[in-house]
Amino acid sequence: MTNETSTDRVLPMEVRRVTGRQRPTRHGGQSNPWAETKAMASETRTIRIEALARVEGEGALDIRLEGDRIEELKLRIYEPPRFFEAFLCGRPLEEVPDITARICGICPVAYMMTSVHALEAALGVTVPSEIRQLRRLLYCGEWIESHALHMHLLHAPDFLGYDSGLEMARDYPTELGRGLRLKKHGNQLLETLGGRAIHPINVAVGGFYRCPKRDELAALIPDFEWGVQAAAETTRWIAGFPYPHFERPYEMIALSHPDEYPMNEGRIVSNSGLSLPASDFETEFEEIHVPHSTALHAARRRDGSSYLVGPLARVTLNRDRLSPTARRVADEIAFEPSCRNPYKSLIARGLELIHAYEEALQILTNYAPPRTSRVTYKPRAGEGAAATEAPRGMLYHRYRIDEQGKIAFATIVPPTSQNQRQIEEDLRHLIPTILAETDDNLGRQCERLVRSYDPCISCSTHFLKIHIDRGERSLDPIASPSNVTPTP
Amino acid sequence: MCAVSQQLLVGLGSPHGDDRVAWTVAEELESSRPDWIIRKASTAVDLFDWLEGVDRLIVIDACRGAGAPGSIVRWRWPAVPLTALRGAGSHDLGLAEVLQTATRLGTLPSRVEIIGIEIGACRCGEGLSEAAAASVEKVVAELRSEVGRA
Repeated sequence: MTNETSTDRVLPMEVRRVTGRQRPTRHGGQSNPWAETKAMASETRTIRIEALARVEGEGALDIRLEGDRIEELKLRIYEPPRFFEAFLCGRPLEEVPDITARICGICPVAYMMTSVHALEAALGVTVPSEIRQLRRLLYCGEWIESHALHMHLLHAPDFLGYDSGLEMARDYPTELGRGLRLKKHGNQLLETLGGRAIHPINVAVGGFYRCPKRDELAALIPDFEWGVQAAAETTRWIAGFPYPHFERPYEMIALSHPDEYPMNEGRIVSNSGLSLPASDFETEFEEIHVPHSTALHAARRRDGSSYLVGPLARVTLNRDRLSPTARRVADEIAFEPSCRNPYKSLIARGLELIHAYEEALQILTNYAPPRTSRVTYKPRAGEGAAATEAPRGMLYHRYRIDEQGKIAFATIVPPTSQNQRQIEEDLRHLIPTILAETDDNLGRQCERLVRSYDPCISCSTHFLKIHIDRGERSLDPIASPSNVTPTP
Repeated sequence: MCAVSQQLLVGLGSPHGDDRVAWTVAEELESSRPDWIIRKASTAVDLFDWLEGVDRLIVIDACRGAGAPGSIVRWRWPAVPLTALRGAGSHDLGLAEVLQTATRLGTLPSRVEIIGIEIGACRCGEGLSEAAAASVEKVVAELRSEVGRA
């Protein structure tokens, strides 16, 4: 890791006023909304938060306010495009899982899994149940490390009044220590089954390059027995946080499988009655280029509307298929069956953390090495698509393969890309309710809402900067459309 | 009779250009320091997973701002000018944040040293520069020759 001390890494926030009166910066506490609102109507202010902490990737949030009216709001992702879809073309299909894993250091398994399922669909390959179980086990490892990290180090500080996990560690050493131990187990599982914790190397089209020995997985069982209970304790703890009263009428989208909590497969369903095979994703959803983002937005094809993917959508649409302990805790904490509060995605992650531990424990306990680690196949021309559930939501891949088994076409739709439009819409509804806040607090609350999505901007194209303009000053230049990753 | 102390050396880096300088040190020491636990990591967060039972931690990392490329600096935590550094995103806590958090959680070994090697370019697919490679040799030679520095 290169420790570069560039200013964009160390400057968390800059508040600058173009004109108008100065207001003191506050950190927490209650404002007098009437007094603040009245003053605001004649005020012109520019706020620039140079680096939104605790999100992954580089982007910015531009907000232009005229009095109490939002003139413009853009989740502006300017991270340089990464061209994965383009440079997959011409590569042998066998390389796709390892290349797409490099899209993200937190959820590489999601990219590997989705790519192998899509490629197997194109090749007409069906994997045996033992391989399928091991794939779910690998996915459990990724959900555990990703959810535990986000919950404890990134999102919990928002609810407890800290700016970072580091600050929180002073007062909550037990909880944070537990969270880090949970995350460690996820990484250990990935290392054991995937070959290494970051960017695993053991996933192959048709299965795995090597299946672990019984003893290798059995050694993890005591930690996972502890983890089921620890994840439940964590979820009870976070359920007691003070959550803002903010709800949105989401169209929630997730995979759904009749017999299991969705990870590797299922139909795409919604709370509005949608149900279609995952391979038909593009008939109902489309990617849209917006000038202010190097990541494509996704929207419903019928009307361009936004939708929500991620843990809250998954739990809402699949609650009865959560593991027994996760269901029991959900009932115990009275988690609403159709929760529409984006901040409570944190609780949904907690329930999924329990589930991932419990399912992983079951697979670990019953594991017997399969006779063969992967299904063989002959390359052939074809096309295949698949969707799986990444920690942040549904992930879709489609590939076309030529006669030589090389990639002729690829499209990848990550969950954060799909949630971008929904995040902007949520902010449009949140900001009018917090206009009375100081620029400092308004920015913090916007950051907090964005963090509830656990966005991975690196996946969708890496820092979020927030720029609030309360006056007539023009916004910074937007990303050039020519910088956008082409999607054939 | 003294208990054997557990020593962990972690090279932080990536495969790109001079940023792989710490990984190269770790790779060079793997065969010559079988008494140490040697790991390579791309993010400091990984340290959290490896600290249990460790008495001494040595972190090797590429750095900038320590002088000319190839310059070597060696600090004893917490007397390290790293407190202003932060990670680049949510999933990339800086080394200082990780060490501070581990201190507050009571999991940081009693002895922590950081060796920084000033680097030049980190271009994808490139190898080490001559200056960085020379520094690798010096650091490896020094760590190889250490005896019982628990």
